[in-house]
This record gives sequence, C-alpha cells and structure tokens, in this order.
Amino acid sequence: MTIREQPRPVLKRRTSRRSDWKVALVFLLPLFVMYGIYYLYSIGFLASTSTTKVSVTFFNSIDVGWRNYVQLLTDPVFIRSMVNNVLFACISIVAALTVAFFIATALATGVRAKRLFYLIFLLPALMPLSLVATIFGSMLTERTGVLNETLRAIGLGALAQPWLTQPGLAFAVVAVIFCYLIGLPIMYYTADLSALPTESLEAALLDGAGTFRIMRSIIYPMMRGTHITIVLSLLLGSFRSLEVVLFSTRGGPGQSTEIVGTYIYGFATSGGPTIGFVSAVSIIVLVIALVLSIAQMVITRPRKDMR
Amino acid sequence: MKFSKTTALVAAAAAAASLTLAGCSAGSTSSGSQIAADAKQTINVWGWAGAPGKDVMAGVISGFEKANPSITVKFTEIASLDYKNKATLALSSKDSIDVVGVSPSAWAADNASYLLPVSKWPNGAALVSKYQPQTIDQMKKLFPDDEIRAVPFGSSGSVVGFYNADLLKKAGLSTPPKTWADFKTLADSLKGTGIVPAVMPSDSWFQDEFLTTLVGQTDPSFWNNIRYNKGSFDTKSYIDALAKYKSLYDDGLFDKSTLDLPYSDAMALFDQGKAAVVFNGSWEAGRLLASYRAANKVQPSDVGAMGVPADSADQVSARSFLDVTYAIPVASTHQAAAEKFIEYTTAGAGVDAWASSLGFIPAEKDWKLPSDLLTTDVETSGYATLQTLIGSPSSDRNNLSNLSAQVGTYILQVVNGTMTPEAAAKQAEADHQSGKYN
Amino acid sequence: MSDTLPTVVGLELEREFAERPNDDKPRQSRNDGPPRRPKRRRRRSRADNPMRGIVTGKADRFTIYALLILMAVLFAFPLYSAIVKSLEVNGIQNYVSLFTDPVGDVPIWQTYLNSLAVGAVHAAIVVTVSVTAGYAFSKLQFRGRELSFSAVLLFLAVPGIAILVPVYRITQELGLFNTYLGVGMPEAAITIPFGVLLMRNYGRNIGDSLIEAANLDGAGHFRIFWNIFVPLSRPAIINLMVLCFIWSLQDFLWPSFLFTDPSLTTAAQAVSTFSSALGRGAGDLARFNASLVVLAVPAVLFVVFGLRFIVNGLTTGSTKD
Repeated sequence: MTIREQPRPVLKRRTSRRSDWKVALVFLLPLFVMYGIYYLYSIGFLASTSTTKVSVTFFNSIDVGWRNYVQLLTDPVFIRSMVNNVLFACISIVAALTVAFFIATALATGVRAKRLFYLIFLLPALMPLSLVATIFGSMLTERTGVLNETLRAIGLGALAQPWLTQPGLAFAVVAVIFCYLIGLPIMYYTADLSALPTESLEAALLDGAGTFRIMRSIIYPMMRGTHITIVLSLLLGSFRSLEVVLFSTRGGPGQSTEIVGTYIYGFATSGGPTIGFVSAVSIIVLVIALVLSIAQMVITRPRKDMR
Repeated sequence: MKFSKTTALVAAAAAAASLTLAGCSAGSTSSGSQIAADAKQTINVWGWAGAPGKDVMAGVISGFEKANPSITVKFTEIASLDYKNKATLALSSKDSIDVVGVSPSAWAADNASYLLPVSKWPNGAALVSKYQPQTIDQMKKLFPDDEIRAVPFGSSGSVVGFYNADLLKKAGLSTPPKTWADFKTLADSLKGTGIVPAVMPSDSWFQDEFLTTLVGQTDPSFWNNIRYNKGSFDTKSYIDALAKYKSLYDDGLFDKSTLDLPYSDAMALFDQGKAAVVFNGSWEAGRLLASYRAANKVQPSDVGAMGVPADSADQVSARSFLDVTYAIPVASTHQAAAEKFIEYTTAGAGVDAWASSLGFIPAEKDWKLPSDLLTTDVETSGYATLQTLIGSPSSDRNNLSNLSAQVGTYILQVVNGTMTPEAAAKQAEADHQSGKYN
Repeated sequence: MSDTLPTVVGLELEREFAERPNDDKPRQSRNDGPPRRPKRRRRRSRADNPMRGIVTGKADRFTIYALLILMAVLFAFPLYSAIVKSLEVNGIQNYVSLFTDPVGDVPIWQTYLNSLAVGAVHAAIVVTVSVTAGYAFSKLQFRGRELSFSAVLLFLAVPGIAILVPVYRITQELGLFNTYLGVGMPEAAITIPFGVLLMRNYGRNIGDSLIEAANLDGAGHFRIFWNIFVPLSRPAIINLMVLCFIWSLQDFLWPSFLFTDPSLTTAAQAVSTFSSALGRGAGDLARFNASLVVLAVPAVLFVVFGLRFIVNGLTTGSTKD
C-alpha cells in the first residue's frame, strides 16, 4: 500500500540464463515441509476418510461410499451456511469501505480526544473474537440483555426486540458484529492517509470543496490500493470467522445464521461417528477455497500486466 | 540501516517469547515421565464440569488423600461440551490418565477399546457387587458386548422443575403444580409482576430434553424405542408433544421472551427471583440446600422440586439414567491406585462428600441421604419427588447428544411458528435416519 | 478529554498518526519538518497536517463530531454492557475473586501469556518459511517459478476448520498435543500462503541492482539473502509478525481442539472455559462477565501503549495487490 511499486527492471538479470533451482530448492524447503504436512497430507487424509463413517478415535471405520457427499450437498443448512458466509463477507467489506474509511479520515482531520476514539474503535478488533461475540450474545437477550434494559430505562422500550430469536434480527446482529471488527481496515486507512500527497488536497481546498466532498471525491479514489488490500483480506478471512457466530447466536435461531465454520464445528465436536461427514464437508470447503483463490489470482493478474 | 525503536521492540518481544517457549517445553516434557517413584503415586482423574465439578470433588479428593497418604490425585475438569472430544484425544494420544469420567451416551461404546474391562480390574468383581443392580444393567447398555468397562457413579433425571416456594404460595398453591391447569393458576397470578412463570435453558440440547420429557408423559417408551429399537420421531405422540409445547407459549404459561437465554442466564433469572420455576436436570438440585443458596446468592428463600406438569397428574414423569460413570484407561500405569480412588469415590467413604451436594443420586447400594441436610418441608418433599422421578423413569436418558442438539433447533422453530410440528417431526426423523448425527 | 491522558501515551500516538510511519523511506510527499519530532507535545498547525485543512466549515466539523460520537457510543456499548452485568450480583467482589480464586484452573493473566507464546511460535514459523520462500520466488530464477508460486497461493483462502480432522491426526502422530508448537504449527500453516505472497511482493520491490552488485562481488545466495534481503525486508517482516500475534490472540479453533491442559488455556479459549466453569447461576454469571471485562484489559493496554508499534508494522510492509 505505502510501497509504490518500482518499475520492473527492464533488463533481465545477466545471470538469468543460469537456473538457480538447486538454491531455490533449499530456500523452498521449509515451505515444502509445511505444505506437505498440512496441505498435501491433509487432503489425502480427508479424501480417504470422507467416504467412511468413523468417530474421532478412527476405530471401526465403516465404508459408506459417496453417502456423506450426497447428504451434504442436499442439506439446505449447508447451502444456507455457504450463502451466509458470502453475505457476511460482503457486509463486512461494505462496512470497511464506508464506516472504517470515514472513521479513519475523520480522525485524521485533527479531532479532539483522538486517542480515546482510536481506543474505542480499534478495541473490538484486538480482543479475542470469542470475547466480543460472547458479550454481544449476552447483551442482546430479550429479557435480561443490557441493550433492551437500557432501551426500556430511557423510555425507548418500544425499540426493545427479541434480537436473537427472530431470524432476521439475529442475522442483522451477526452482521453488526462483523461491522465492529473493522479495526484492521481503520489502521490500514490511517496509515495510508498519513502518506497522502498533499497537492491534490490543497487544490481541492482552493476550489472550495466541502469536507465530505473532499473525502468522497478526492481522498477515497486515491486509496485504491488500500481498498483492494482490505477487500481481499476480508474476503479471504471470511471463511475463518467461526467465533463470531459460535459465541453470539450459536447459528440460531433455527440455524438461520449458521456459517460454514459453525456447521463443521458442530459436527466435529459432537464426539460421535461424524468425522467422515466432517471430512466430506472439509473437502467441499477446500474445493471452494481453492476456486476462490484462483478467482483472486485471475482478477488481480491482468491489472499487474497493465501497469 | 537504522536500528529503530521498532526493531528493538520486535527483538525484545522475540526474546521474551523464546524464553517463554524454552520454559514451557521444559515443562511439558517432564509431565510424561512420572512412573519412577513407586512409593508416592500421582493419579490423573478426568471429569467434565458439573460431574460433579471441581469444588465438590475437592472434598472427596482431600478425604481420599488422607486415607491413602501414598496417592496424590490430580483432578482435571473439562468444559462439558468439549469433554467428549478432549477425552477421546487424551485417550488416543496415551496421555497419562488413570481415571476417566465416562458419559453414558454413544461415546462410551465408541471409546470402549481404550477402557479396561471391569473384570480385569484388580478387584473388579467385588466392586461391582457394591452397586445397585439396575445401575449395572444400565451400564451394560453402554458397551457393545455386555462387558462393562466402567462402574456407575450416580444417576440423574431430566427434565425436572425447581420452584420458588414463596411465589407459589402467593399464587395460592400449597403444593407444586402437577397439571398444566394448576400451572396456569401460577402463570395468571404472576401477570404484570415482571416475573415469568417458568424459564429453562434455550440451548437446543435442552429443548430436546424437554420435549422427550413431554412425549414420555403420554408415550413412555418413545425414547427407548428410538434408542434401542429403531423407533421413529415421526409419530403422533411426538407431533402432539410438539404442538403441546408450542401451546404452552401461546397460552402464556411459558414466556417466549425467555427462549434466548442460555443455561447460565436461565438459572440466573431464577436465582434472582425473576422466575417462579426453572426447568432443568436433577443435577441442579443443589438449590434445595440452604447452604448452596447462601453461597451462590440464590434469592428464593425456599426451593422445592417438581416434575414437569402434565395434562393429568398421574402422567408426570421424567427420563433418568446414569449420568456419570468412572473407567480406567487401558494405558493407565496406576491401575490399582485408580481403582482405589474409584471405589472410595463411588462406593466408599467418599460418596457422602459429593452426594450431599444433591447433584446426583449415588449408585451405591443402600445409600441414604444424611438426615440433617434438608431443613424445610418444601426441600424434603422436593428431594423425595426427585427420587421418585428418577427411580421410575419413563425412558432411559441415554442420549444421542448430537442428534438432540439438531432436533432441538426444530423444536425452537416450532415454538416460533416458523415450522409446523408435522414438519419438525419429519425432519427429525430424516436426520435420525441419515446417520449424520448418530 | 485528550489532555487528560498520560503524556507518554499522547506522545506515542501523536507521533504515530502525524507522521508517515515508515522511518526508512524518504518522505516524498510531505512538506513539513524533520523526520523526528522533538519529544514534546505541541498542537499541530494546519500546515503541519494537510488533513486538518479539509474540514472547512463549522457545520462540517459538527457533523463529524456528531457521527464519531454516535459511533463511539455504539462501539463502547458492549463493554459497558459487560461491566453492568459483572456488577449485578456481588459487585466488585467478582473482580477480586477472579485473582484470589482462579476460574477453570488457570490464572487469568496466564491465558494472555499462553496466547503470546502461541503467537511467538506462529510468528517464528511463518516468518522463517515466508522469508525464505519469498526470496526464492522473487530473487531466484528457476523453471516453474510462477507456476509453483501460483500453487502456493491456491491455499490462500483455506480456512483452518477445513483441515481440522487431519490436523487432529497429525498432532496425534507427532505427539504435539498440549504444546505451543502443536497449536502454533497449524496456525502457521494457515497464515503461510499470505506470508509468502507478502514477502514475494515485497521482495519484487527490492531493487535488483544491489543484489546484482553483491553477486558480482562473488557473494553467494545465502549471503545475499542474509545480508541484503532480510534487512531490506524488515518492514514486511514486522508487518507479518504483528499480524501473526493478532491472529494467534484471536484464534479459538486450534487451542480449543489441541489443548486439554487447563494451564495452557489461551485468552480466546478462556471465554469458553470460563463460561463453562461459571455456568451455574446468578453469582456465576456476574463473575463470568467480570472475567470478560478483565480479559479485555490487555487489549486496552495493547491499543493504548502498543498502537504505534502495530500500525508501524501493518503499514510499512503491506502488499500492493
């Protein structure tokens, strides 16, 4: 982001004919070891267990053929959890590109109590997610939650809602938690703002543009690199946000807020003979993740060539 | 290159981290090799939270260590939802566990090969004769080949209710409600007070507990059929129970706004005097004790126990089963000491120490509750009610936990009106058939 | 309000956000003073901070404050809620008892030390693997380089939960249950694709001329790597380390599956451990909320005292694409 990419060396390195593959092998060895253990072995292991019915003891494994896959792909809850994953990712991206951008920009304009504001806005992102989500869950219960109690106390009792038992509201709650986790985007924007070229800002000021127009039309477009970094990191991270749902709505009500992480987690922690099924889910998720990565590469590649 | 503050910080952090690491790796290697000292033994005991729980077990352990000065007990308590996974993991990685709490569910059979058959325990046969015969029968249902690999600790029943005696008195009820009509009286008397008639954990596994209790009132063999005889969820009795459950909320006997309260919040609502009855398992029976109430800030001054009301009083019932059992892993290196501990705890002097907290009814033959524990009539009759309910259950509370958790989500949807009882029963049966959950 | 905070904090943050965080790079676009400010607080003028100038009118300023305050209230509400709940029964005693009578067999501060230790393993593995691979992919010529790099990136979006079952098995086979290494390794496996991408992109931006010169001097790849590539990549390495620590702090999945020893409980895991240990009624619930508040304290200290460090790390080495 703050690195302006230098022009590629026009001349090929003189040594480029010589292949460094032996050296490369040494440098890549740690990577191969980690990938070998955690990805290649994993995929093989998953593929072989995914056609069985077995518990986590791996005793008495029963071969069930494709049954796990069939069950999985016809399970509406699994499909919904995939869709939810995508929706939550989109929501957190929108929040990052708007709210986080606004907060970072506003705080960069020299407001008072800036440190306090930073503290408040960055805090949720630097705490364990399980902590944030747990607090949300308990704060939102209908009868005893502090939110409804506060609303009733200040005469807004009509706004008190069954936040966690209405599917629509519960979905919104999870979405809001994702919006609370925009600390990292705020930091990225803050950092980029401090390196902003001044000239265009001054030109805009001379034009007499208003604050929000400058934010929207001048600063926002200048941060394209940061936007891309943020979108990518949120997109890639979206599959990893198990805790947000697990500790707030637990996937409910009626599994309406389930995401892939909680779906797998539920089966994986059951202690029953569900490990074969979990492996099948894992395989499908891996395939999707790989496709997502390929898409990311395809999307970002042409832009590089145009530079 | 400038050596900036940041570099210094990173270096410092890395140094600190590596120190920590060095420290911990030294620590972890030492734990594996403790077999050497023969005179002094340390046994590792594993249990899940609330079975019976660390504070209760502390009394048992100190008594045992006093009686057996050469044995030290290290008790590890694991969160109950994590227990099955972690215990499996520990057993399979040959962690040094000497006594492992076995939850009476499908887990026991899955892990049977890690557990030493009781017949091979140094003193196994004699030990078995110390328990009530029906608990040994239940034990046999847990393991595939009639060869028991654990001994019973205690039993519990579910679902039962604990009530705030003062609130019942105010509603004009001298005895706890046995029928839904009585319960309606209670609910009506609380209208406008901000106190809910009943509360229970909204966790989906508990919703399933409640529903199987309701079905058991009209169809006592329902659960045993499913568990042992390939019975179906999609039956008239189950659909009726679902409809009944929904109607309890619709008719104002239960309150929908409590359906988002997880376990601890539900108990807290009762403890704070904001609910007249809390439904849970008999493992929460500690609330019958004045000492427990004082220590845990339970506001109701007198608490009794009751069954889940039914349409007619003679239908009131609960499911019960062994709740905690103890086994010795094959890999244990202190099997004799482990057996000593198990005997002391489940059929010896240690029983009173935990049974007095009322969490479980001991499996030991002829055990009697110390007479001075319960002081008020409400408490005494409450405990008697629990004993009756647990002694003559509708079905075994021998759960398929994962299926329960899944079915519970449908039950909640039925109450919220987003699923019909028929659809929920169909879906539950489809899940049951699928083999995904059990 | 800002004036009430301790000066030392003020200094750190003020410098942080007023300056370009990367001390190494030439300050191309700024028209103000010397790279290091005198260690003394002073109000900045408009010329000092161009961003200051964009708030042109009173109405705009008011709107900005109104929006910020509104959002700050919303953001602070959850913590407020936990504090309220923690004082509902037994009051402040709930906090005292957390320290005198540890919940779930682990002192509460120990959970953060555990997270830190896991983070250190995580960071060490990720940095080692990513820097070496980053060098290979950016500075070495070999057949199939781009292809193998793409293969590495394939795993960029893999969530930890998808390799849960095999990791369980691997940890079992390697005997790594209840070790920091056992949790740090799978965390690292998940972070490595990102780390390699970061280091390779950063490496491509390091001019080849320096390396060529060294090459002509007869320096081998290992010397070039150690004496040129690693020092020049320092900002990216710091970025990576910071992210590793943050991610380890937040990771619930691996510790919850691979740690059974209560004394190893990490901060993220503690939330669920405590909730189970304190799940039995009103007194417990208040105490649980108190534990949540206490668990949040290190994060507060982290932001107050370590923000400069974090943002420094984050910004200096970020990827461009």
